[in-house]
Amino acid sequence: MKRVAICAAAQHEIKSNIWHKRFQDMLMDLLEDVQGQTGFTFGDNGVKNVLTCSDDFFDARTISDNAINDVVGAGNYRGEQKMAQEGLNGIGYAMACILSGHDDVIYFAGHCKESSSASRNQISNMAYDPFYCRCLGLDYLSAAGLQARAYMEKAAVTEEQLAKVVVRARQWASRNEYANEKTQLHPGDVMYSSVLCDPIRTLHAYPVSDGAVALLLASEEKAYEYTDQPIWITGFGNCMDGYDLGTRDLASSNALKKAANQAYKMAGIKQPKKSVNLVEVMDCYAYQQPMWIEGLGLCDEREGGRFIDEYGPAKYNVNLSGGMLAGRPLMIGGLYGAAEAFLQLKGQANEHQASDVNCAVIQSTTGGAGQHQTVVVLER
Amino acid sequence: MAENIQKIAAEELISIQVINSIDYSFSTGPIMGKWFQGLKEKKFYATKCPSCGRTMTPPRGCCALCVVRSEDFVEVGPKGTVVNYDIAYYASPDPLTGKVRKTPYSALFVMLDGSARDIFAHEIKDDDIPKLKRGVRVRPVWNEVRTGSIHDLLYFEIDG
Repeated sequence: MKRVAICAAAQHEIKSNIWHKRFQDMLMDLLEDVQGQTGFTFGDNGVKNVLTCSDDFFDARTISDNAINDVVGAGNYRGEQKMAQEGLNGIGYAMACILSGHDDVIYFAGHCKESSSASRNQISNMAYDPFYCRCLGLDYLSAAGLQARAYMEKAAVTEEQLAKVVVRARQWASRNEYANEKTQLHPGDVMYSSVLCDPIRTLHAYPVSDGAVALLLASEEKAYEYTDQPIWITGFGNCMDGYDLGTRDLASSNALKKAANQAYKMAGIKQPKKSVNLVEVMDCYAYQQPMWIEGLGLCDEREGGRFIDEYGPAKYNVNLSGGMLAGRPLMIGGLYGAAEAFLQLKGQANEHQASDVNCAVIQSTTGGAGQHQTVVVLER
Repeated sequence: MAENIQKIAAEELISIQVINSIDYSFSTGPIMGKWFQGLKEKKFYATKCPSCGRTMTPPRGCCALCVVRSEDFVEVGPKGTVVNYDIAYYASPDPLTGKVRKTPYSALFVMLDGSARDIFAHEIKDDDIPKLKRGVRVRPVWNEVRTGSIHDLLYFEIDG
């Protein structure tokens, strides 16, 4: 099978309120960054098709990609598509564009400014139907609360274990130049932080975050025009779970298991526990780190807590960026994970570089309580 | 039969009126920020593309045609020439209030003096709608109280 490469990645510094820039200004910085790294141009000999990722509600306009066409090079008779799910799905879309022969290079940029809304819960409340769940106040936080209780009971995950997850995320974030929240914590700070949506505490939840990410993807034939060291996308899978929370088994990440199996199969990975040596999971809430690790098959069912305590995070280099818990915006949390894994596989992650990394798995989710799940495998 | 279905439909297919409201605050950034500051001072600022030389009003930080950063400001207008327009007789209701603005009103494309391959969209004074033609000269009418918003500019009126 033909291969598709990531040739370059650019990350905008993440902050809780990038008040001094519009998202267009942030994307302009990334465009220049990627062009500086690769020398790519738009047009017949370069990028003819552009992919974006943004959210209508966060940007407060329908067809939110229209507002950014100029700064992604699509404003002058170029193809453009918008990924309206978490940005990691765009990697699958870009792969399809390239493997189908329609394109050989894709520029892909995603952005999200959570700070634009007075509360991101007002936005995720809009994900639910207008006359039932929305009126009852359901949003991603309360959906996650239901899942946290169900999963923590099933897998016997403790407050101490969740505190470890958060403390460790902040430690790694302090080494990542792009990370948002770097304040160091003691386990007690987490365990006694105020309750946000029982059993989720304030410090179990990711900080409000603004950011943007851009990638250049190319076919195997074209990749070396842009980089000496392409990183290969070897696996992709995604899977949707039910919309109504009541019909789902909230304590099991069945959609993630399917997405992961699809991605592993494509990558030819038979035993992920043996092959994978770097993981980026989209842990918006602390309980999700062990839960998504189970879903990725890196530990057995109900073993997520033990994974945290005994062997897992260090062995599998989980979220050496700090992950979502150190702050990443919702729509592009997984896309940041891909950019981080790209740096790790190239050996360019500076102070948070892992040793001997050759196979990275990135997971992301869209919707309430991990409804839609996406997995990408990247290899050197 | 058909009557019966209609009767059932009227009784059971309830539609519920919903008003969605989210509180936002938007950054204007250094480029749009300069534009709004200009309106406060009765000035129109455009950016000029360093590659093709065209101007952009309101200013954009990137030329869509050349895909290059454009952060050099030039002042354009305040007078200009009408290059296109339409006149709306049926206005959309405001989704939050249900209020409908007074009609007719215009959507006006003005080439501000000193701008290059660029138009600025606004509207014309109600009384001037019957006199509107492509090529007529217009001048801005400013709000007495200006706060750095698009409402600092009330409308254009025919010049002369």
